[in-house]
Amino acid sequence: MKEELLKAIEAILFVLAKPVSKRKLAALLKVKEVEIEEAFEDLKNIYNQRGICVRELAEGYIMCTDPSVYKYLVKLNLNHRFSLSQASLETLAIIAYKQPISRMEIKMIRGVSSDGAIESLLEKGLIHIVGRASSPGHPCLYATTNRFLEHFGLKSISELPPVNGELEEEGKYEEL
Amino acid sequence: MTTGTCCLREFLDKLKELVEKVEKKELDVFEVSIISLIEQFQKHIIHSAVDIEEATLFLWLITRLIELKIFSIFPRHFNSTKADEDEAKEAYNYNHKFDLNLHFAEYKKFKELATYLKALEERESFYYKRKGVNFLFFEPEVLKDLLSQINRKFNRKKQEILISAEVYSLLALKEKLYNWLLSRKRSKFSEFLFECSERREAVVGFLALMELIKEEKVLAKQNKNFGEIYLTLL
Repeated sequence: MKEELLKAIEAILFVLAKPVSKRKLAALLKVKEVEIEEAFEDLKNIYNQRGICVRELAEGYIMCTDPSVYKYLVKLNLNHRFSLSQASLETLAIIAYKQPISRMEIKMIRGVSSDGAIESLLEKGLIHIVGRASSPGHPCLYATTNRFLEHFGLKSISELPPVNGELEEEGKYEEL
Repeated sequence: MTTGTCCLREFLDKLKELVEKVEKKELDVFEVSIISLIEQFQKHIIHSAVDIEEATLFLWLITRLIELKIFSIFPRHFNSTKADEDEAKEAYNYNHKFDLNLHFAEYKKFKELATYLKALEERESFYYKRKGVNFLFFEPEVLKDLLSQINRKFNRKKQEILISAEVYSLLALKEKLYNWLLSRKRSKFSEFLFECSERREAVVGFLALMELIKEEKVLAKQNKNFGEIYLTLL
């Protein structure tokens, strides 16, 4: 039964090739989440010395290549990722720590308009609109997505380092 | 030495004391109006020639005040020494009420976090992921609801919509109205309307009347709004 579960998880991760949460796997395979966790640990040990690895990413599990084989894969010139500009990274950092946040608040912190960066981040699926503020004009509020965690290799948003000073004092980090 | 020069010397001595107080942090630099000091200096030199040494001293003192003001607003450079950092920290605490300083400090934090994110991005670039199939996952209950909704939609009876053909043509009504008027020469339009079998015929009949008026075949006269329309054939 356990072997069957391992095979099933392995196959699902291979086919989907994107982070699949424990809850989804448990619902699909009709087992408990604890069993999925145990099976994942076994799978991780199996792939320990292989070119492919399984890892926890964006609140789920994913199958990808091991960093040790990067030097060979890079020769294939695969355009597998995009990199963000400095403006986009700054905007994303503000959104990640102060989410949900409006465009105007981002502008206040950066001192310049971030409209271009926000549009680019929306297009890439790293942020999304989560609602509207109750302030005048009801501006859109932005927050990060699971794609953001996936892009930066984070298991969850709480993996981001705490910031010093007032953010910590205000307890914003704890809210994330 | 003239009286003016005497006054100027006193003014410069007081200014020197003021700068020293600011340097010793006995006085807040933001309480000192540099513009007013320059105006006072101008008043002193307006009637007498100024000595080059006194002018240089004044410029030096004013420059020092500007420098102190700048240091209080802007954060120190990254490569500063420990002593400089302590001094900057002290200066920061001293002037914490100024939003600009806080704003810069906050922005600096996010700038550092952006650098951290860049490092994460680079680390993650060593992992290659496949482009998997599109995954649309539904909880069993949700899927059941969705399927029942789809079935309900398909089982719903198709509503028959009847589109009727045009019954009354403008051309035909125009001809009918013209012939009707020929037999009467002068008549009320309401009489024509009473002869119409339904509302649509009456509406098209009114449009036909408009056409006849436009073609100058009929003269229409109405004494008041919503009143009777009298028709005369031309």
